[in-house]
Parts: sequence; structure tokens; C-alpha cells
Amino acid sequence: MMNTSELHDQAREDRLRNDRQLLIILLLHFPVVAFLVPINYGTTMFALLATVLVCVIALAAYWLLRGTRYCSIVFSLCLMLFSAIMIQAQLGRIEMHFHIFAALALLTIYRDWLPVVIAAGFIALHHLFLTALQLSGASLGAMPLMVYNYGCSWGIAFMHAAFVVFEAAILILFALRMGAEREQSYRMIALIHAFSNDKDLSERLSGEAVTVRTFNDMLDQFSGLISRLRDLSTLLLSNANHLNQVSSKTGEIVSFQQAQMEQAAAATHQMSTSIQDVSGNAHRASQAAIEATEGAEQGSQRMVEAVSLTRNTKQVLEQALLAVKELESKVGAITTLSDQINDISEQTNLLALNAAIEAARAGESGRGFSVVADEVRSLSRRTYEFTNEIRQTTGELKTVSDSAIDAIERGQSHASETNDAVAETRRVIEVVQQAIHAVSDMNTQIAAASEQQAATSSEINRNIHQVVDRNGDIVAETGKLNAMARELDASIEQLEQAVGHYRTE
Amino acid sequence: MQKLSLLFLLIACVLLAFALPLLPAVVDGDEFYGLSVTNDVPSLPLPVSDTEADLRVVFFGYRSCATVCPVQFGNMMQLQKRLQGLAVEFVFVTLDPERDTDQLLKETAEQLGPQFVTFRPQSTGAAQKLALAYGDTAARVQHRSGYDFDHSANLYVVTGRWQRQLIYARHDLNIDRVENDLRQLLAAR
Repeated sequence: MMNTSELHDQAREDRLRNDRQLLIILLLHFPVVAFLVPINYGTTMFALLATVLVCVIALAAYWLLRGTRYCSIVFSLCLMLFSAIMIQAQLGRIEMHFHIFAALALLTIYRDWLPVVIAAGFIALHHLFLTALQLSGASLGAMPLMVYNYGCSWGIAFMHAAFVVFEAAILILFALRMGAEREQSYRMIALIHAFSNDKDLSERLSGEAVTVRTFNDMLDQFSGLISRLRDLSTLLLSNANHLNQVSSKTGEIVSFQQAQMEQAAAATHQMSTSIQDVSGNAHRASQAAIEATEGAEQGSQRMVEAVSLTRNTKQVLEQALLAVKELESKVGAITTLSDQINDISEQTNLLALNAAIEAARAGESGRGFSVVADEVRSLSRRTYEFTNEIRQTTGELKTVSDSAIDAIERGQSHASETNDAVAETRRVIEVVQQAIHAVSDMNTQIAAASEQQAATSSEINRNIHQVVDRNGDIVAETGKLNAMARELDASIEQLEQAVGHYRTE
Repeated sequence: MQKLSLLFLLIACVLLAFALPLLPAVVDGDEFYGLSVTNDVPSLPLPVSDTEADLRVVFFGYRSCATVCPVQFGNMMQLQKRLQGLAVEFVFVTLDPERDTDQLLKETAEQLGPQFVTFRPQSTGAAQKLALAYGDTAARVQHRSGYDFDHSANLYVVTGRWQRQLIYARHDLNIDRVENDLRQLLAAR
């Protein structure tokens, strides 16, 4: 609360300012009253001298009495002196009287009744004195005494006085009211000072005037506002703390999420790579299956060729069997023939022996015959031997041919088995081929699916990367949010500090 | 100390207030009774006189004026009598051309004397404007029975070339001193 001496200082400051302003106004009268007003009236010297004297009095008053009520009293007299000079300088011209009313109004600058009363009283006395002088016909020097230039009477003097009293009364009323308002405004200023220096909103103006009520209302509202602000600040602080926590938690979650997302991104990348590997492998498997199919087809072809070869072998074996059998029959025929030859050779031997006996009986004529008979017997023996050998050989041949037939038949049997086996193999190969085809198809599908998967996985990876990037943004934003929450905290602290100083009760 | 200063300054103000009427006597150093002024005023289209006047005494008034105008007419007639034969002309300018007809003015001039001439402006407004140019104020005041003029009723002494020389701002004039002023001016011509 502003103390009495401060209020006094304020009042003195106001008074000094008013004195300064009124002094300026008084000094501004100088050129007007001294030079302009006397034009055409031959009163310049009088006006100049009188004006100088008034200005000297005004300056002396300002020098000696400024800032006091006394100064305003002297200034009010100076203004009235200017009125008197102006009236006299224009030989009592009626319009010059207006200056009195204007000057009286000017005195309300002090918001004080005293200067108005003094001025009005002073000019009234002066007027009455001059009226009396004028009516008595007094003439001082060359210049006539003139308060009025159109007729001088007590009636006119009193009418003028009545107007002066009327205006003075109104001005006194205004001055009193303005003075009261000024007191009020001093008290307001005191309250505002208390508010601005001590943050004190607890004091109120006393009185029932509208201004007082309005001002008090305003203080009440302001006080309420501060209280509300304080409550809000507390609430805000709590909210800010909560926000801070939430923002920190969000930051942690987002960081965790980012780490997870980065892992997911890495995993998807790996998955993408492995899917690409799978796709490549599937491709290669598909390729291998195709190659296997081709191999199987070649195998199948070879099987067909093997079947054909087996069949040919079988035919050849059959032909061989026929040939061997024919050989066997031929060998049998040879045996038969050799048996017949053997029979012939035995008969020949018997005949040779009979011829030798007969030759021996024929003595010497038969000797030559006996030698031929011996030769024939030797040939028959040798034929016999030979036929025996042939028989032995044909017997061996038969054994061989039998074993050949046996072998051929076994070979035929083997060839049939082989044929069956080859056919079975071929069937199996066909089954394998079909299976490979199916595998190849599946591989192709796997490869296609893997490629799609790879593309999708890449897309996912890209998306995850984008998410990770956005997550980074979120992390940054969360950081900002954090900073903002901290700033908010600081602001609220400042607000609390600002609001905390106010006393509202 | 401050109270002493206040007392001193209050006394100074009161003394100055009551000394104001005395000041002109101290300041006005010339020998004329009237207020000396030298400035041009509007010329008046007056009828040609027998002799061109060296000085003119101009008065703004009206015929039906019952207060100050007769007094000033009396003053001017006295001066006319004293300055007979000199080149001085007395000019009556009516402030009330509505009621002061040419005929009435002519009769008035004849009544006042041979050195009197009259001038009737075209309207009251023109008359007031002309009066103001000479330094004379004239306000028309309406009464229940008619109207009057509140006016300065000064006497203005102007030269033949319409240059104002002296002002007599009152009607209770010391005629001797006015005569003396006019003779001085005529002698100086």
C-alpha cells in the first residue's frame, strides 16, 4: 500500500505539473495581450507594460511558490489581471470580457475550488471598482477608464457579476468533484502501486461511487482471476507432470518399439534373403528335376532299347537254339553215318580177312592180292578208329550242344526275365518321371511362390524400414514433446512464481 | 517564507489591478488627449464638399439612439462651432440604415450643421462591418417594443486620406482638449 508521503509526493507532482502548464499558458498570453489585442486601439504601450508586470509576478510565483496551493492563487490573479488588461486595452470591448470566463474555466486544471473563488472575487471587486470609477467620470491621464464601452451602469456590472458567480459556482462544483475524483484516483494509484510493488490485491477503495464500485469490482475480478490462475497453474503443473511422465513413457515405448522394429526389419531382411535362397534353390531344383526328367526319359529310352535288344537276344538265342538243335540232329546223323561207316569198316575188315585167307590158299598168285587185302584191312581199322573218334567227337559235340542248348535256354529264360525287369524298370522310371514332373511343377510353383514371397517380404521389409524411419520421427517428436513438457514445466514454474506473489486475501 | 512570498505577490497583484487605470497616463507620453493611432481605415463615399476636408471626425451611431448618441452629437456640434472655417468635417455613419432613411439623414445633417455629412450603409450588417473596421462595436439588441444598438460610440479623427489619427473612447469629453488635439493636427498638416 502506498503510504501517505508517497501520496503527498504524487499530489505535489501533479501540482507542479499543473503550475508548469499554467505558467506556460500565462506566458503565452504575453504576445497576444501585449501585441495583438491593442492593435487599432492605441494601447500597445499600456498593454505591453502591464503584461510584462503580470508575467514578472507569474514567474516570481512559479519560482517561489510552485508545487503549493499558493502558486495556484497567484496564477488565478494573474489570469484575471490579463482579463482586465485585455478589456482595458480594447477600451472595454464586450468580447474581451469573455476572457474572464475562459480563464476561470482554465483554473479547473487545479481541481481546486480556491483559485476559482479567489479569481472570481478578485475580478468582481476590480469590476465594481472600475464601474464606480467610470460612473464617477474619473479620468486618469489621457486614457479613459472603461469597463464597458457601450454603456456603464451598476445593472450591467451586477449582471456581469451574476454570470461570473454562476460560472464560478459551476466551476467550484466541478473543481470539488474533480478534486474528489483526484483523491479517488490517488487512492486508486495507491492501490495500483500496492499491486505493482507488493502484489497486494487485498485492499479496496472505500465509498459507494460508481467509479469506486467499478474499480473494486475490477479488483475483485482480478483477484478472482489470480486465484483461478493459481488453481489452474496447480492443475496445469499436475497435468504437465503427467504429460512429462506420459511423454517419457511414450519415448521408452517408442524406443523399444523402434528396437523391435529394427530387429523385425533385420529378420524380414534375413527372411527375404532366405526366401530368395529358397526361390533360387527351388529354381535349381526345378532345373534339376527337368534334367532328371530328361535323364529319366533317356533311361526310359534306354529301357526301350534294352527291351528291344533283349528281344533281339531272345530271337538270336532261339535261332541259336534251332541251329544247335539242327547241329545236334546233324551230329546225330553224323553218328548214324559213322555207325554205318563203322559197320562198313567191320564188314570191310571181315572181307579183307576172308580175301587174305583166300589169297593165302591161292599160293603165289594170290600174294599180291594178300598185300592188298592187308591194306584194305588196315584202312578199315583206321576207318574204324576214325569212326570211333568221330563217335567220340560227336558224343562230345552232343554234350556241348546239349549244354549249349541248356545255356541258350537259360539265356532265353534270363532274357525273358531281363525283359520283364526292364519293362518293370521302365514302368518305374515312368512313375519316377511322373513324380519328377510333379516335383518339377511343384518346384516351379515353389519358385514362383518364393519369388512372390521374396517380393512381398521385400515390401514388408521396406514397409518396416519406413515404419522404423517414421518411428525415428516419432522418437524425435517424442523428444520434442519431452522438451516441450519440460518447457511447460518451467513456464508453469514461472507462472506459479508470478502468481504466487499476489496476495488476494 | 512561502506565506510571506504569497502575501507579497498578492499585494503586487492587487496593486497592479488598481494601478491598471493609472498606467495609460504613465505610458502615454504624447500631448494628445485622444488615443494616438496611425492606421488606414476604409474610405467613405461621401458627397463632394465645397472644400476638401483636412480632418474628419467620424461617429457611428443611429438616429433613434437615446443615450450616448445625442451626447456625442452635442460634442461634435460644439467642436464644429469652435472650429468653424477650418477644414474639418464631421461624419455621421448610421448603424441603422433600416430606420435612418436618406431623407432622415439629410434632415439630421441639416439640423447638426453645415460641416456635418452623413453616410448610410446598405444594410445593418454592412454598417456593423464598417464600424468594426474603425474599432467600433455595434450589437443590435431586440426589445419588446423595437430594437436598439449597444455600441462603442467612439469618435475617430481621420485625415483627408482616410488615415486614423485619434480615438476618443468616451462621451463625457473634455471639449477643450479635443479642440486642442484637432488644432494641433491641423497645424501639422
